[in-house]
Amino acid sequence: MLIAVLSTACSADESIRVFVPASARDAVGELAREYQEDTGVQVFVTAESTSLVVRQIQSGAPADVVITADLAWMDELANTVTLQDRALAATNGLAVISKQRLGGWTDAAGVKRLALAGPQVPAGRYARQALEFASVSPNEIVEASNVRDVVRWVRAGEADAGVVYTSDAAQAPELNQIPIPSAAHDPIVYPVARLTDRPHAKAFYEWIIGEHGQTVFGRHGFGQAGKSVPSQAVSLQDAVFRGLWVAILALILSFPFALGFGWWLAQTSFRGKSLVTTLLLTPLVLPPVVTGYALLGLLGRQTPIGRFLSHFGIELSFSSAGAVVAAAVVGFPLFVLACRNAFEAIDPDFYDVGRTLGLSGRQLFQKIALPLAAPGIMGGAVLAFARGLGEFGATVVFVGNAEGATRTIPLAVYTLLESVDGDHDAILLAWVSVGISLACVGLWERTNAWQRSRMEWKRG
Amino acid sequence: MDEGWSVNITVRRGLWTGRFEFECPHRWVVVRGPSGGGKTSLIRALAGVGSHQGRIDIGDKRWTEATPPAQRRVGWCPQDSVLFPHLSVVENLRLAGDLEISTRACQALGVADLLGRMPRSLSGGQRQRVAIARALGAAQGVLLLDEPLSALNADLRDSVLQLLSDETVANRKLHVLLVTHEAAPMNTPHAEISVEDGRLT
Repeated sequence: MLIAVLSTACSADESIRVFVPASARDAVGELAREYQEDTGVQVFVTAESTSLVVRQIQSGAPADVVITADLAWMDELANTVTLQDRALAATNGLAVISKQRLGGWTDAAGVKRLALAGPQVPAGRYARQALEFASVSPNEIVEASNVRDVVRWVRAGEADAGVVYTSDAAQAPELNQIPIPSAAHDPIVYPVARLTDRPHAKAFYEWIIGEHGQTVFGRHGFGQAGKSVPSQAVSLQDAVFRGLWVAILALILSFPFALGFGWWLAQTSFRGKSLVTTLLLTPLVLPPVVTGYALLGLLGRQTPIGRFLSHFGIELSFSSAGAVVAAAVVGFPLFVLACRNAFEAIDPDFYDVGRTLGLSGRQLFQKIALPLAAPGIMGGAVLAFARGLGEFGATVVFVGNAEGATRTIPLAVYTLLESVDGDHDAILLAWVSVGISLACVGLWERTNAWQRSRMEWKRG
Repeated sequence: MDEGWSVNITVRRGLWTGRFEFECPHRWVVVRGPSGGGKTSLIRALAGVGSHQGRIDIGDKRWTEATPPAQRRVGWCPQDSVLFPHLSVVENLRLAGDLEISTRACQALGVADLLGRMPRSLSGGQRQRVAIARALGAAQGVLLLDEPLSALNADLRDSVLQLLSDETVANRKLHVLLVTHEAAPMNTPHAEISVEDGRLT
């Protein structure tokens, strides 16, 4: 059953995948929706920082079309991946945004706190070039991981001014905006490349660089000043049901392993047992991003295991099936710990009595150990489910953040926080998340009470 | 010795060693002694759930350290009257073996109306009587009772002892080893042994 669900989840023939920088998300999202309405072909848009987009494709993410925020990253991609076709999708400019009116763009250096994207991000690099070009040095720089955060901080008053793309500034019309002359920095261009020869990949690529695509990019503030277009690239309902479904499948996937290892750890003692336990619990303490990176290195499409699985039509990295695996892996330690503790808590007298009654080892497990440990196992399942539901770091690295494919609740919240007009939906989704989590904790507490009522009478 | 007991075993548990060597011409052995003296270790070794060295002859049965508990099939009533908490009283009895014998015992001990209940809703004394009934149903020749009378009042003690002596002598020819602090009147022929510090005294 599980395999069937997993393989249908990852074989989507009539769909294409487009990877774009965060700043191009709204424009490409709009193009994707239009294309979908016209042709019925699903277009999955994954929007990340350019560096992550490139890394993901180099790790085997199945991209049909890719856009980067500068030429250097596209060249870097071309080193490892064959580009079928390549063109310019859009240009962009820089602008200073602020709540207070400023005299000129160089006044940005005079404010108390100036927000910039980090120097490794193209937007941050261009902004620093411009400041250097004008020979001004800011008082205090607050560094954001991407341009969207800069807009957010300026809007919230966390920073007094910020340097962003004109396309992002266009999303925040209530802020004061002063364009920075394009001569002050390297040209900001968004190259687009086509990676596959599939007909719809070609068609969508032409759609982006064609006249209509350019109009849409223009409307989103690329190449020319434009007004904000409200966009809703995140489907809340999809994220909630996808998140629940992924967490449930992850639970089913990890159950036999958690039960087996839990029983084994509770029953046996051998040299090196604590080492084995430590290894099993590693995903609990490892930063989830590292877990995701390890999964990519272990199960990615370029790895031996990944190639082996692909013979059976199973592709884990950058697919919903991979999201299930990521959630299962991070939830597993909680599950196996709960199983082990539940089995260890059983008074060995029960087994001894069972053995004098002639029960075999298998019968002892089925008739005594399993029912007695059931409350603890249930508790572990609830915790692992909640953990899987909240899984973010490993998921975003291993399977990416693709609308309609791998975007679960926390990924959707993150995406909404990154988008300028996403606050309302982010809060809504956050409340859903809080509700589900509280329900899980409540259920877990019930299993504890169940366990206590089982055991409290034990001594006569 | 067709009728009685001949036991010669050594039990090791960590640094603790118990040597139990006794012969008894009767079917009944009553074990007395201070707590911590090794009475429970002796019972567990006889049941086959605590490892031991040496030989055990009870009636026509002959067990060694290699005889697993599933072959001994003793009726064991542990000190804590360990009923399975996830099973109702009748399910506990059914798991043990002969439901007819154990329900009859429940009737004699006044707990027959509790069959559908869960163990946690029973009092300590009720659980103890159910555990005795379960041990009777499970016993295929040997009954090991570890302080079965501790939570019972004088009347119930008498009815337990009466039931045991009926079952053993008249009905089923059981061998019984009974650990007790009570100076209970025993009208069944028996031998008394005293266990202290892992030795018979």
